[in-house]
Amino acid sequence: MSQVRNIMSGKDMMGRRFHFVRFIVIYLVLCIAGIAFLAFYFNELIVTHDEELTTQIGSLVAEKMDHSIRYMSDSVENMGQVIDTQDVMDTPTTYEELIGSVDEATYESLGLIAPDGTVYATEAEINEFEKWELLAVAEEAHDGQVAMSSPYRSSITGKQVFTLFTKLEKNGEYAGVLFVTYPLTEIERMADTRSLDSNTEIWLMNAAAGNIINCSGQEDYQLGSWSNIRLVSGDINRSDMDDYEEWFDNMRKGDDYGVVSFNIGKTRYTQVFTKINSMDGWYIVIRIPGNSLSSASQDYRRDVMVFLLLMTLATFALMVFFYRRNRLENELLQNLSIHDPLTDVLNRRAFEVNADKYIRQRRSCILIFLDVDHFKDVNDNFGHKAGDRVLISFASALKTLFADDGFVSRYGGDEFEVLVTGNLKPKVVDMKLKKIKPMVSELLNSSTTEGDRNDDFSEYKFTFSAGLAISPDNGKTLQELRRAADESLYKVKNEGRDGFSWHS
Amino acid sequence: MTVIWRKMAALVAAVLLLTLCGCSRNQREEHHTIVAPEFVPLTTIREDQPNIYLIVKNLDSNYWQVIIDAVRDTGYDLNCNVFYSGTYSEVDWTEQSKLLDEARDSGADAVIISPDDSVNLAGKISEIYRCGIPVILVDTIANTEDFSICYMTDNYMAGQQAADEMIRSLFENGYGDADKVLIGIQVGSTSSQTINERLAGFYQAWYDSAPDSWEICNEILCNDGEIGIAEDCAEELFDKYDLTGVFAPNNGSTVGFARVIEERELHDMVLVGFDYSDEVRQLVESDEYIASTLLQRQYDMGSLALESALEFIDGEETELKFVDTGVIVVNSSDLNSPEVCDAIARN
Repeated sequence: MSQVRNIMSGKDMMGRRFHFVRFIVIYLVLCIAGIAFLAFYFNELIVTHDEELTTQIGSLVAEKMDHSIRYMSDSVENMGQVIDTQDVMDTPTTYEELIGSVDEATYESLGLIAPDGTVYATEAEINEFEKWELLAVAEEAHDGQVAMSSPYRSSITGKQVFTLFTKLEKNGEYAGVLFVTYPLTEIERMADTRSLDSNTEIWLMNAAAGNIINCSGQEDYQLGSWSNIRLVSGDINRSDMDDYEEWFDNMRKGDDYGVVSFNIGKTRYTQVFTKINSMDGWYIVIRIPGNSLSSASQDYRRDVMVFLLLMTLATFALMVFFYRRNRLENELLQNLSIHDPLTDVLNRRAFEVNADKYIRQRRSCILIFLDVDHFKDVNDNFGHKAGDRVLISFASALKTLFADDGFVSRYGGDEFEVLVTGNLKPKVVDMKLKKIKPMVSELLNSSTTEGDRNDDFSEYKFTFSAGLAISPDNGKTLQELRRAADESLYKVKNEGRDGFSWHS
Repeated sequence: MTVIWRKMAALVAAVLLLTLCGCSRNQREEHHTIVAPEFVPLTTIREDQPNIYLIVKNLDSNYWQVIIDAVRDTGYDLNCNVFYSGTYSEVDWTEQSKLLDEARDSGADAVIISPDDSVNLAGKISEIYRCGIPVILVDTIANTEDFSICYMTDNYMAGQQAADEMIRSLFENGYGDADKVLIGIQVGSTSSQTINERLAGFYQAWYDSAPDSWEICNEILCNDGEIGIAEDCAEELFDKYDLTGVFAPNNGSTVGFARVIEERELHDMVLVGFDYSDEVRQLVESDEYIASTLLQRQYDMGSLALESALEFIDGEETELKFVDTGVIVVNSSDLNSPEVCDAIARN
């Protein structure tokens, strides 16, 4: 195996592995980039979905509020028209009749303002006019146009209220103003909805000042609490503040609606404002956490992302598995194709390819041609298995001595070749050759072969003959070197074997 | 090669962790609650007298001591047993909730309370009221209809008066319509209705009356009712913004601003705050600083609350449920007027 590693060396194997690692890295980067893109795309879809849905909900609530205020305005206007048609002319009498005829449960307070500005109402209600400068609002009531005050706290009930004013006319002449005060909860309840998530916030908001009145909550007493948009925006992530400010600016500019998405911590919120047409300067604002609107989509997104990641991991693991198995198989096949199956040294073809390549590079080397002396006698006297053991031991000794400095190969039968590629001096090669015989004898005597006719090598004396040739002195090709080494080998054989000779 | 595999596995694991778990940092703000003390008698206790329980927001504050004094004085005048307790921070509504239970269980004939949290405490106030115990609110209203009467400053209107005072003071100190003015604000709580309504009134009056070039800083800092944090907030606002004036809608915030203004000798800074702490008094009385503060009539609140408590115990009814006791604006120019002197004497 070590010779295979030497031959296949190095660069080829590392090259293949490097390609594979590069491929895997590219694959993983592409997969992760794809998943990241999908996650981003999903997020965009969810944000768009949330914004559209919140805008629709905002429009619906604003419509509900508009209808509610219009209903109250119409009621006040109708009351005014009823007063207009009555015969009674003076305001005090009209006021007395009005108080006696209207159901108190439907309003907080009501009264009349005479053409000269005198307010006909209870003392507490008159004080409210002075405190909140309601007469100025009353002057805004025109024909067919009900005027509405900003919300204020009533001294009578302690609750937030607002007052509607409608102009009275008798026989075509201005006859004062009718006012009716309603609790603000009438409007707040229009906005409140229990069908949305409890984390959903709905506010009435004054665009100019940024004041907000809470219109939602799990408990009734959460309704009607005041705050300011700047107070409730303190927790918004800094990266979203510019969008948030722009959203607020658009409201102050008078846009009919606007939407913004932002994060508070890790929670994504969508917030929308929609103008309340019948309440000048006031907007309905809805803030909904993303998980309330798109929890199903978010679950789906998470599942898809996890699935894709697991798939990426699985394919990654499979690729690694198949690559490693393929590599092992290739190594096995390679091993089989270049090695002599009996001695595990290179076969002749593999040797020739590598030796020829080496010699052609004009690098100095030594070719040793070796064969076992009287090998036929070994087979005849000790059996073929014993003969095989002699070959295996011989090859083993050659590998031990020369594998680090060259290639060892079985040429055929009992003949072996060694190409010494290192810078070994002839003297060193001589010394190594002299070590072969004792090494082989020791190997043969240290093991036995079952079922053979004779596994006792005590009577066998191992010898070999070898011829050596040096490149480029004795030849510049493998063929020339082989011829020279072969000549040297024959010379040794002719001289009685059991020795080695350099080509001269 | 093994190293490469390990590195790749680590990379994949890291990506997975980042993708699935994300990175988070848990930021928590903690508020330390101090347990409220048990009720103690404020007047001489006699068995044949009605028992009235007073619960205030801050036992360590001069402002609340005035209310306690008012209730005590009136309690002696009208012969009733008054017990009192309260919290040490104006945001500890849970402790006030426990005190309300304790008052009911102790046989209170009426409760006078200033809720630390208008929203969160509304349920408990409603529960006590529905037990047949008259509940008189002072200084702060609860967001429920279940109370007998409330004596307090109309905070929305007080906020408007604060804005008017700020605008007046700026004009008086030479700022014109075209000048650039930036006002900073810090608050003691984001859920206190008192503060929120003052803020709402301030904003409304500002946008109604202030020149267009005069702006309010978008960032409002919250000090959670802690004077130390209030000073930090003041430092932060002064460091981050080129402020012309500052508005503090509650006592603690006013103290925080006043201390830092004096420490940094910000003689041109216009301060409008609430209540009459030693710190703001020094600035108002000094000719070197431009400071105004809005004094509530808390002595009247306490006194009227006790009178009403006895009336409700006697079964009397009232036409009004909300009584605005009003505010007095105190600045260096009217420091010697009789009305201001009287209000200061009662603070």
